[in-house]
Amino acid sequence: MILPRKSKYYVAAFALLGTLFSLAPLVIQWANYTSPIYAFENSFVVDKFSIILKGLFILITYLTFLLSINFIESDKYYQGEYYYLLLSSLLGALIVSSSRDLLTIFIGIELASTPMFLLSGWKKGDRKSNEGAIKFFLLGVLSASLILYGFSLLYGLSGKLVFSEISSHLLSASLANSPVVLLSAILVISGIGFKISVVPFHSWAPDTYEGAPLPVTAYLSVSSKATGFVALIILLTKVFAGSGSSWGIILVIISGLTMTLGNLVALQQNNPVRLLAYSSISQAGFILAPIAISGITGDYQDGIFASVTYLIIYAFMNLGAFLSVHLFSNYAGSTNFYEWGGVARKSPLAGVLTTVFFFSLAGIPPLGGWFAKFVVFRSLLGSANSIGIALGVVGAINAVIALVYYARISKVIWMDEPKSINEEKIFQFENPLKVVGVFTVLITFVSGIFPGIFSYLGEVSSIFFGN
Amino acid sequence: MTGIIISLLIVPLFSALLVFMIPNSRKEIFRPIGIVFSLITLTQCFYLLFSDYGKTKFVILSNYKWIQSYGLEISLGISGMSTLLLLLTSLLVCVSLLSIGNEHAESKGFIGSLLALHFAINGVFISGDLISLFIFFEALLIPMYFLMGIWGGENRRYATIKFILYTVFGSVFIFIGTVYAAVISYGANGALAVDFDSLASLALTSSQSKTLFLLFTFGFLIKVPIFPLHTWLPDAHVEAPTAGSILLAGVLLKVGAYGILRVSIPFFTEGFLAYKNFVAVLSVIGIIYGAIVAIAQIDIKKLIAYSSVSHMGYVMLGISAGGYLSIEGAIIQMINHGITAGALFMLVGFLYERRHTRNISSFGGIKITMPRYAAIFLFTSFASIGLPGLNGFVGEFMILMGSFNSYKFLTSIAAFGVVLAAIYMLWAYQRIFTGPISNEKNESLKDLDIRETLSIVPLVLLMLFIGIYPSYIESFVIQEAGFISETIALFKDIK
Repeated sequence: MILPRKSKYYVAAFALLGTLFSLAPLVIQWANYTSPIYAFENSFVVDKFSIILKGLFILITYLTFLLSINFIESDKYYQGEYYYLLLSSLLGALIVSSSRDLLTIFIGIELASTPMFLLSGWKKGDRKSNEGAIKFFLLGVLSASLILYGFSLLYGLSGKLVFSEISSHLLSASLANSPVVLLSAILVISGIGFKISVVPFHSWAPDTYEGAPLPVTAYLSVSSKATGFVALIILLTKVFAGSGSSWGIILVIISGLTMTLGNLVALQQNNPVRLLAYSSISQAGFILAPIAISGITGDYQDGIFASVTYLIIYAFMNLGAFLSVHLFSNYAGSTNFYEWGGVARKSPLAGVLTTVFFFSLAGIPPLGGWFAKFVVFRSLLGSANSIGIALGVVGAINAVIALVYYARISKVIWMDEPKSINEEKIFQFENPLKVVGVFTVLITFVSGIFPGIFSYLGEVSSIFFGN
Repeated sequence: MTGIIISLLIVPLFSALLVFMIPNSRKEIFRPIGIVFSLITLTQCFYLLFSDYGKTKFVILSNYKWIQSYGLEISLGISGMSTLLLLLTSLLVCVSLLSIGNEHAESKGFIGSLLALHFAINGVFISGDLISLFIFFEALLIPMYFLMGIWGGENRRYATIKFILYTVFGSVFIFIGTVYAAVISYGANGALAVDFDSLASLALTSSQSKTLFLLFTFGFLIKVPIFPLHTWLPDAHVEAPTAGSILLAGVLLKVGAYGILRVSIPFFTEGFLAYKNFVAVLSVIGIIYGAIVAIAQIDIKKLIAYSSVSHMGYVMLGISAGGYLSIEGAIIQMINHGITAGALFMLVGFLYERRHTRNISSFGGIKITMPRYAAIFLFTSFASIGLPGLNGFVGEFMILMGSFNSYKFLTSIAAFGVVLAAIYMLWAYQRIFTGPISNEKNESLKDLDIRETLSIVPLVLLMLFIGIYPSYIESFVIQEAGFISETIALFKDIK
């Protein structure tokens, strides 16, 4: 921020290097890892689970920066502040994944989401951007207050801040299923529900996604969502573990509704960003499903494994999908994807990438999405619980519905007759964007063909739950 | 042996990547590369056919640890039926590469997608576990999507989406079935083992077996396709480019029947016994319905597409009768239909390249200008009808003989399908080839050139060979058909 306007170019490079360098301590921590390290009176922990998630957040942010470089330079945007705010949000996400007490996690959640209020309104001249930012801000504040209210109930009951102490207090006083704890759980779920945009807390997402600059939207739909999920997982399994059967049911209903509503509305969209917004709402339903069922069965380890695996695969393929939308909407100059007829012929590389990402989101093997779906369905059917199987059926129906709109975009870009193609116009596919494309496509393929790499996560989630 | 099996995957995949990497300035070598590599695969298949595994039931030859903590393994294996289908696939890929016109042969994407399709189909036939079967089953949609969607006919967008949606709708059931089977296996073995050996040793309850049978069979039946799930087929066949239609009719339809023989019946036998009558009724409806609709078609490709519905009905009838002879007939009919339908689509493709229409009424009397073409077409039509001495007869006769004991009434009705087949094929032949030349554009038609003749002749020879020496091809499937029918018989006894 302090650099003069002329040298703003260095800001991007600095931010990129900074994020990349911050991976180094993670690698060192990973290499020297023996047992979880607690700090600040048990309110902060470094375990394998948090290291993996931190790695994920840092990579996502790095890719978002790459997406942003050309975009931010293309118009009169504030550059320094842009990177500063994204980095602050990253810091919040990193705090969340290690937090073990109420204050730390609240600060983490808010630090991750507050910069996004500003960033989503970054296109100052655009009414839609302003509208989206205001909606996001109002609902974001509401969600923060809901979370705080939930926390205050917990604190009032137990007088403790650290999760392990709260949950042992709740257990020893056999309060786990008392109405107050349930109310607190519902408040927390609703509050975080806004962050992860599940039905019925999703209404801000499409407008905000549409209005925000595209790299910010990508970040919102991937990193912010992941932060919310991580916070939810930590809170539900560390604090509310005892009352799983109650919040499990609530989450099952939310998850089923989220999948179905998100999908059905996505079918109607012609704006690719809104389509991705609704599709990511629907995907959130899938991510939520295993946690919900694990609440009912009590097998948290399995639920966390399935959800986090889905989350990681989803993060990269969804980033890739936003990249494709960014490329094509820039080229075609239209926000109605039905007008993108035949654009893939201008850049077969971009066309193939797009097809890969959208087919992967639909869950077609050998792309990563299928393994994500596999672990989720395995966790649902493996629960041997009629509710789990019912949710599995809902999920299966939704998987088919989703294919319709995912396949539609690649149909348009490959097969439709060119309408808006201007032969003279050059298809812009800048190098930073190519890096993003190749990186995400690699991860999408590798996670589909060698899903064995995720088996490590199974072990890690057991470590997470063991401490 | 393991090396050969893996190379069945690697060679097509490598050739597809190779084609994609050659610059467009050397477009004339795309086709030779494809042909050479599919000939390599063809040779490997012949080697397999005459090896120890060319006549057995399914044997798993190699296992690879895939997801260790789940105990999930990738298993690859081979059997008599698989080998024959692999052979058919390589042959059809090879001749369709030879048969296509230059417009497609010089397109990198087209040849590359075709070879990628070859890779995925090979994968289906050598999969030794449910997961890899599912993955390859789905993976073949991606090249097919491009083949149909980019190089297809006028209405290709609608047809492609319909094809993809139908198939994926079925695949979701297969997917859920796979996960369910894995979960049951986890309860029994402590590992998500879904390879065919572990599945065979799984003790399923009656309701589990029925559920799993329904899940898998529904997915496979869409692919076969059985009446009333067949409506994607005419659109897909008509709109796909010639090479796509050849592989679609020749091999992809067999993938469904293969899945039922490989997975649904041996592992979920109780479910099969509960629902086989239902499947049999649907297949006979399909035989008659497909044939009657074929009579009414004015588009040659659509006519052949509906005839496929009818012919695959025989396969399903043979499978659901469940006897030794009928299952053997069904496997042989799968191979035979692959050859004849592939040849018919290729022939229609030749005509389409010359005239850019497939409308029967725009032809007439072209026997005069294209005598060689007319002779081959007539020969292939006879094979398709099931004239004794040609391949079509063998499979249908065995199916009808084998099914008669179980379904006297249904089989009698199904036999009428043969008569209807004669009507639609010969009537079409009459309208296209005989009489005076009714359209002056047909006066200057060129007969088949050497390349085209070379690509159809192997198929014609096979029709003749299987027709006069059926016991040779039978010898490769005896053990496998015996194994499947014994599994069914054994289960009946236990009940």
